[in-house]
Amino acid sequence: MTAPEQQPKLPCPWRETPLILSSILSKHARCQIYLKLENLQPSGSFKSRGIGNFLLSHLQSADAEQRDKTHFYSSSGGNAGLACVHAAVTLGVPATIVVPMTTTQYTIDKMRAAGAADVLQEGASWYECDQYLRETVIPRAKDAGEIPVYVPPFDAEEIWDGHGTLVEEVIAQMPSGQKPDAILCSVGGGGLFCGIIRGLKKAGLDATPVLAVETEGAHSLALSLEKGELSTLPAITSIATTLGARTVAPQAFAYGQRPSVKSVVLTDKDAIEGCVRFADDERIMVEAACGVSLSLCYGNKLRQYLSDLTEKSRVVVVVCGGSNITAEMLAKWTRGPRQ
Amino acid sequence: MGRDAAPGVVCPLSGRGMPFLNRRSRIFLKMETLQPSGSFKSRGIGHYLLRRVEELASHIANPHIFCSSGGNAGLAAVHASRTLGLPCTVVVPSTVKQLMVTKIRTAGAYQVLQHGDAWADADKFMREHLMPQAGEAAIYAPPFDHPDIWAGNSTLMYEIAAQMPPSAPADIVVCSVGGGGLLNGVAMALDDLQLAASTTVVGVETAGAESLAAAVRAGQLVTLPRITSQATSLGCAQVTQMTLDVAQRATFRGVVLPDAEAAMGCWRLADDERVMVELACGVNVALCYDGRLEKALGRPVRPDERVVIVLCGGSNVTVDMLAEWRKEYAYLEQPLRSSPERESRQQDQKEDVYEPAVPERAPVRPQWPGVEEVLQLEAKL
Repeated sequence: MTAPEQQPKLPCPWRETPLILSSILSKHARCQIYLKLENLQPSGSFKSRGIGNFLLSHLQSADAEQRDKTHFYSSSGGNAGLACVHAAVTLGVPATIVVPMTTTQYTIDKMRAAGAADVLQEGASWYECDQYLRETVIPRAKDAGEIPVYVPPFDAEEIWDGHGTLVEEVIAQMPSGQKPDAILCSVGGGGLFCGIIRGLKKAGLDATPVLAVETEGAHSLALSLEKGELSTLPAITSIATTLGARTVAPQAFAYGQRPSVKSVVLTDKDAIEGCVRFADDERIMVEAACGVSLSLCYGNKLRQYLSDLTEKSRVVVVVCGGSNITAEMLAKWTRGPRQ
Repeated sequence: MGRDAAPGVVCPLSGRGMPFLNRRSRIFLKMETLQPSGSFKSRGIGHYLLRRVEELASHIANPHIFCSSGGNAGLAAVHASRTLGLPCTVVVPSTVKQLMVTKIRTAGAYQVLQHGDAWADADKFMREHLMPQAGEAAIYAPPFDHPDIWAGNSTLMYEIAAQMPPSAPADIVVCSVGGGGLLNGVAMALDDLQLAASTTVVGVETAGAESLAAAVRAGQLVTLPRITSQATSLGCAQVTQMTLDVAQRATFRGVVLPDAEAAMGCWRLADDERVMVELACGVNVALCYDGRLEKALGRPVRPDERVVIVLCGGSNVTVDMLAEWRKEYAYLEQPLRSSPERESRQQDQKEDVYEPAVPERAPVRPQWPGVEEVLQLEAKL
């Protein structure tokens, strides 16, 4: 650790995002719905915070010589990888992403356009490509004189603390110093969820209800809570592939057992409805992993999980964002199966 | 929220360095899409209403707002009125889309009436039959033509100036021109900040609604005989005098693009930023592609130049409309189709489109409870 006075003044890889009151969603949900717009992060999702903080922490604890040799590596072809690239570019260091052979050229081009030092393809699935990164790419980088740093997609304290900064912002942004009555977030590996719990703890708001929302077929948190022990899904069968962690972070399982947390599992159909209706109502396009949380605002579903809800209750929905959505997908979803 | 609440919000300036202009230049989007009413009009109309309410004689306890816009101005009037805790009646012609009428109702209008075939009929009916019933308590909200509206709009340019780094101000500001209320506001702020001489302002219109371009050609204000552009939010037959004055400055560039290119701007913005805007706004984004901005400026855009687009927003867009535009104007993308990069991208996008495992009888969207049903449910509460 370098002494505070030696710590470099590095730019922040994430931004403060707006918290807006949605009158349309409030009408549907019959309470006050506040949207935390993480889709506006530089990488298009909330991951800019956590992954950004992970990179930032590493650089802050390195001296100048070490910083010059640092090279970040990620095996995520999704939002975590994109966040890694954007953060690295902001911080002025290289980032290389390793992706499986199944990754599309479109995604690879997007990573390169964002400024990745390199994008390598290896392995039939994420598991093999991650193994290749750890066992081949990183040792090779070390031999070449770099300081390679593996960037996990969600399971690290620095990542949770980065995500937790959104809670500080929400509290400062709520009108007239009011506190949120509930927070809704999607759960994949649980990084965002951990960040929110920790952020609430830090703000002295431990008792704030948190709805941890998953899709069926990617419900690793709900499965573990049901079984009473950390459990692994046999496969990911949901279209919300960015929620597709077969096992949640152990810390997410631990936090998930708190009395203030409610696990919610909805269907892919709900997630799609959330995406389509949100696009038409607020003109923001989000991927299915995010749509599932938003879908709770429609059809009076919230009261099933928050029985004390009144018209004046203030519910904050984390609009996590994400890049896995196009206008074509949305148009297809509005038409339904008969086209 | 009391009467002192500001009906507009500070909107982020999103600098993505989007690569579609050229890899090195910086494009910034002023995200007016995030205003409470979905467009920049929250600022101008909000400010105007605040001033009118302040001016009201103290004995008037219950002011009632009246607006004859079935577009974003009407939406802004309703949202601002609700923020101020006041009722707002909107009267629109029968030609206004049901989508907008529903949005205006959902936003909390006291009532929405449809009268006549054209705006003038609706406006006349409102002034002559409805407003007299409210007497002194009636406040008329014009769609754009008032200095208080321009002053409200100007706050966005002050924000842009504050949000850009002091050493790196905006070089080029791009905004749409309908009646000119937005352009007037931008110019007022630039003048006040003494940035007018160093900032190029690009005013964009759609063909078939180019009241400013026509006035510049004629050297005086003209009235377009009809509006033929689908970007109806820009469909103002005559701009304000101030707008013409601004357009005659050396630092101003006027651009007129066809609806097809406005639509292209909309779907590219959706592709690249996952934000949906209506045609009146997409026309600005179109400037960033295929050399249109360079053509408008008459010179290349320098790599260090900072371009700010006022992403004015607007509610007249849905997922279906975006898909329709892409189909209708597909020919715009055709010359690029032969490029390998484009082909590979289209190939990949097909793979990206996931077939959701919905059951055979999954209801299509209209069966999901619409806003109308929600309102009916509410009426029963």
